[in-house]
Amino acid sequence: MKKINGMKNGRSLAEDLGLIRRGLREFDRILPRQLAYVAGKSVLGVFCPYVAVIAMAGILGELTGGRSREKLLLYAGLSVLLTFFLTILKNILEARISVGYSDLFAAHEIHLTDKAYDLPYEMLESEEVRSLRDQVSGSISVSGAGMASLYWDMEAICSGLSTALTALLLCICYGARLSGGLLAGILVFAFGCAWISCRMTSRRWDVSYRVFEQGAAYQRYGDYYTMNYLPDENLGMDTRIFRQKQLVLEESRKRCYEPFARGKRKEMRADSLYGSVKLLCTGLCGLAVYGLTAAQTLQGRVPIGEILVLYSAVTSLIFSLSNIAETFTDLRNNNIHLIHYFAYMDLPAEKPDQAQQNGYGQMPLPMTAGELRQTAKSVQEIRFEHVSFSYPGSEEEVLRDISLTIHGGEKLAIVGVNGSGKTTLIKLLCRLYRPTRGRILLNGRDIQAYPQEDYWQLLSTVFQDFALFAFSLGANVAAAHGYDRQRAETALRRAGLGEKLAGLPRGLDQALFTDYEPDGTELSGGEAQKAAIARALYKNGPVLILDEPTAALDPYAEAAIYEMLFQRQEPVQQGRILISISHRLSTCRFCDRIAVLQQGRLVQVGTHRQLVGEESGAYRQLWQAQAEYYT
Amino acid sequence: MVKYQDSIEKYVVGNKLLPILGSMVQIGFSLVTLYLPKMILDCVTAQVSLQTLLIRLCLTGGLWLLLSVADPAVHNAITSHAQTQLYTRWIPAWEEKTMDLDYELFASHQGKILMEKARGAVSSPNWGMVTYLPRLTALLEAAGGLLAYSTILCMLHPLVVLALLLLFGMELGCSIRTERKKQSLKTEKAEAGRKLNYIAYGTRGLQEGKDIRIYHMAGWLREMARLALEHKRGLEQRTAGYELQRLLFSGSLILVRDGCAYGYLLYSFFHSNMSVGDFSLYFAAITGLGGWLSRLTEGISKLQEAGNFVKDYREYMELGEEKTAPGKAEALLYQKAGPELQLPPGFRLQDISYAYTEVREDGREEKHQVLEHLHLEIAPGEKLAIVGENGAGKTTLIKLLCGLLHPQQGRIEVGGIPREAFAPEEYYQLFSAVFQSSGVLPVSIADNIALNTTGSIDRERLQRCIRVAGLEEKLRSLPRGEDTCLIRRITGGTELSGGQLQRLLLARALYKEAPVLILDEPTAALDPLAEQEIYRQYQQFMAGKTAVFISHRLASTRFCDRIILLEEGRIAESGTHEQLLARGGKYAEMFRVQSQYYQEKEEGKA
Repeated sequence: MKKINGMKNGRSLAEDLGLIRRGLREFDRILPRQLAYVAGKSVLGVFCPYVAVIAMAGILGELTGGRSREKLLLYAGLSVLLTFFLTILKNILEARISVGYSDLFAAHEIHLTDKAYDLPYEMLESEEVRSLRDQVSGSISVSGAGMASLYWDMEAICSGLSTALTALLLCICYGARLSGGLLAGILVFAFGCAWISCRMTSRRWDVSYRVFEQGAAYQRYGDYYTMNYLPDENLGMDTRIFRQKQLVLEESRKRCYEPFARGKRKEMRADSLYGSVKLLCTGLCGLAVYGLTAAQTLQGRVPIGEILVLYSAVTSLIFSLSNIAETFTDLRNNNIHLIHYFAYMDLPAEKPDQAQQNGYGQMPLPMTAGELRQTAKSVQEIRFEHVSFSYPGSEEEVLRDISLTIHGGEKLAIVGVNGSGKTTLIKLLCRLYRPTRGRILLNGRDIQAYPQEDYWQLLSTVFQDFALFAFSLGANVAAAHGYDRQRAETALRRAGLGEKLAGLPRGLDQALFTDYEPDGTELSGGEAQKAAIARALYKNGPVLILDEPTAALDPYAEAAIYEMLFQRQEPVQQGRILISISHRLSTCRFCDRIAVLQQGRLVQVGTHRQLVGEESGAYRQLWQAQAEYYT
Repeated sequence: MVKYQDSIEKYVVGNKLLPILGSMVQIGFSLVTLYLPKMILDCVTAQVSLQTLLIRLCLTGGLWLLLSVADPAVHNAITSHAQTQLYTRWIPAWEEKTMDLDYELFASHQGKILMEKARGAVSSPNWGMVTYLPRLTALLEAAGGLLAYSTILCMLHPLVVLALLLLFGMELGCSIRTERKKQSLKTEKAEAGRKLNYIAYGTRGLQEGKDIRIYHMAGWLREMARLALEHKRGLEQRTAGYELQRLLFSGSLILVRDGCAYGYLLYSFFHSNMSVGDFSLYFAAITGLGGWLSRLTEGISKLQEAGNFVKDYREYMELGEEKTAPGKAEALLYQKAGPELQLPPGFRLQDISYAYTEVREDGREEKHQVLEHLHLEIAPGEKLAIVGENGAGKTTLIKLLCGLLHPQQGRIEVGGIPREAFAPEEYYQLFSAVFQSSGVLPVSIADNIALNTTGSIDRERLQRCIRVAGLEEKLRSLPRGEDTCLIRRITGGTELSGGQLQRLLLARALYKEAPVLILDEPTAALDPLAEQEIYRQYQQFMAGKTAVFISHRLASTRFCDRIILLEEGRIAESGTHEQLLARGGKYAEMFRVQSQYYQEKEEGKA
């Protein structure tokens, strides 16, 4: 067992055991008590077959010996009754296990999502964290590895250990009448066979593991073609008009199916080869036990029934030992998934006192109720002071030295071409990222110095990639389970969804989309955008931020939304700030001022009239590119 | 190039000899396993010589060893055979079929369902059609094993077999009742499962991260997750309860069976000349027979399940590739004469009607008339713009034009030749297109543009297309230039931004050098400067071609020779931009709405 003592996959035994222990503790958190049930069930499962074998041995011994009817009946009765009760106990545990097991995958994923809620936003957006999450989710949902493997392997280890112990005990008890040398010989033979079996099993699983590791890359190609590309209704037009058939067939064959088929064949060959050696060993050992004990019985040294008990004890000893080794190899290979799992779970959570921790501004003083009420009603000023920003891990400055003051009640448009930093500016204002230099002040106080929750309370946002959930329309608008129905209805009407709401049989309680409730209502892109706007109106924060709020709307709907938000003044009451980003510069006409971003710099600020008048200005150039078609 | 579908029929199931071999090996193995201890016990009780014992042990034991090794090897060979079929034939044939299928069928509700079912049948090396051969083997084994054990037990007493069958019947009856109880929960469970899955996999807290934080949604989402988990768990507990009842019943039956078996065998032992070996053999056979019986019933349903996968797959593979279109007879005449096309071709659409069938959640079909008695002529080399509100039928019209859909009424002529006179591939050859949601393949940029597999990409033409499409700058930034692969998560290569993707699609359309160009809202994702530039490139590129262009933004259609406005499946207005404005109809109204904010005469807002 040199391999087990040494390093494997670059980890020492102690490290691997530590990971497994930690994994088990974590598992208990995802599905409480499951592991105890599993352990109990596997121990009970071991005793059942032995009861029958031992009883049979007793009966056979009695039949060839004393032939006492009372004893025979006692053996038979004990056997059937014990088996019955053990089976029932086992089944009760099994029932509990099956309930827990059916939840495992979803509960695991929910556990991961729970963590995602607490991550600092900048981590959530980083490619590394996202692919880590995909990896952790994928390892359980695609290949049943990670926590799931740990679970199944625990069952195998528990039953392996109890089988091995029982078998050893039986060997010693029943082998006692054999000569000491013979018993020792049988045990040595058995352990030798078990050792060979272990080696064979671990080699076989190593082949599988390698095939699996390589397979992930092939799988991505295959999945893309068969799940994303080919069944797509729109892409189906491309495949036909551009005759992509040969290319797709050849690529998928070369990059996925051929290597996959090779890997699978290799795995099966390894299984047959190593499996044969294993079976040969076990079989030989079993035959030797039969031969030796039978010979002893012939000479009258050993009662006849013991042939059966010894045979079954020795063969199950070999099987259980090699099963333990096999499972242990699997557990060690599985540890890489646990490492990913813990890497994800150990990501820092967003702490309320982060501002202080990072030496940012003052200690966040919780706002008093009065202060909060006051701020919630009106924001006098938002000021960007020399704000620069680059994304974590990147040298490139996305925003450079931005200084800008937005006054209470002002409507500001931010424009610029793709990649000029508009959305990033919004993310800073929303405190999703922190400026690398400079600061942003709200009512004269650094926004980092507000308690996180209180600050977010002030914002009503409609992001470009807003999210709606497949729960009820009302809950979506309120972003909560229980809510003010009147207020939700008003918000929906103002966002232009009044008619839609009236047409829904279950009104506010109608679910969106059909993912959660089959009778949910589908939303068009424009309706979804309106629902997101309704959510912002329901929240009614003193700062309303709109990032491309009308991209999915047709010209009529777009005009209606603009009129509601900008012209009628209704939602934008006194003291409320409105910040809007739009590709379509038409929005700018409604705003008090326009800020133009170009490659991360604030190049122009002013009213539409002023900026259009600046001959060589960036705004004029943008405006003309669009207006050209309409004049 | 292999055409996978041609040979599919022969290989749908695979080699049927293997299961027979596999089942024989396994039945043999289990019989020898049953016989071996009996033989030894008999030797011992008969007090044979040590030599005789060893000889018998070696012979029987040798056979036993051989079979024990052969059994898994044969079964592995069966699985391996099926998996090889899966990767070398079944999946490629599915892919080929998906690309050959008549587009209208492919995009229809029925087509999608069949496609998805067939894909499910070949989606895994451990599931679906792959299981057919192993399950066939298992069924043969169960039948054979049952026969062998029954024969043995008949030697004890035929009534024993009958009694065992009776017990099994009771157990089966109980299972069926339990299954029925479980079925009654099925709909509820499926619903709970769907909800839970939506929460677990549909909302992962990543894309939604911004909204979750700013709107403090975590509490709400956690509550929904808790409710869904609890609901599902309650249902699972009920299911497990039913299952437990069944197991209790079946445990009691085993209690009765084994008790009776002991009683009967002991009675026989004392009242007839049964040997100790026979005693153990019969007892093992009695306890073993039930196993074969349940393997048989399980085997039947499992094979049926696998058979359904085969059926799903076959059904999809047998779908028609080209729908017979109206006017076939006339088309055949043309086909004989060989269609001669003047390039670029003009089109004539006569009295075209088309309706979509939408299948609703509850299975009802609903027809949506998209085009109604539409007449349209496109002159050779004309640049035509199609505008209209969402759902006016713009995209449908284009799909009809490209031959992807077939009109349900009316006819389409290309350069005076009916559309049906062309083979589908031949007809597609006429078109180059940039569709609303075109995508890329995980291959190199060059392959994505040329889409050529013969390895002979015309490099000069490729460079020219890249230049005209304005993709050069991006390629210069890549160390491997146009040989860089796309879709990073699959190939480790690069990703394209929205604008770059548009340029790539343009280059691709350009490379094809087809006489007809179709553009369906290609610039929705671009900012104004990029949009303007792309339009210029299109204009340059359309020279000498017949072009059809769809856009939401009316202004971008002004470089076209003619604009048609679709409304409720008909052409409501037709003319140049100026004519349509002068007409003061719907087009003029739409243009006014879109352009009002760009007009220099300011009104209202100060």
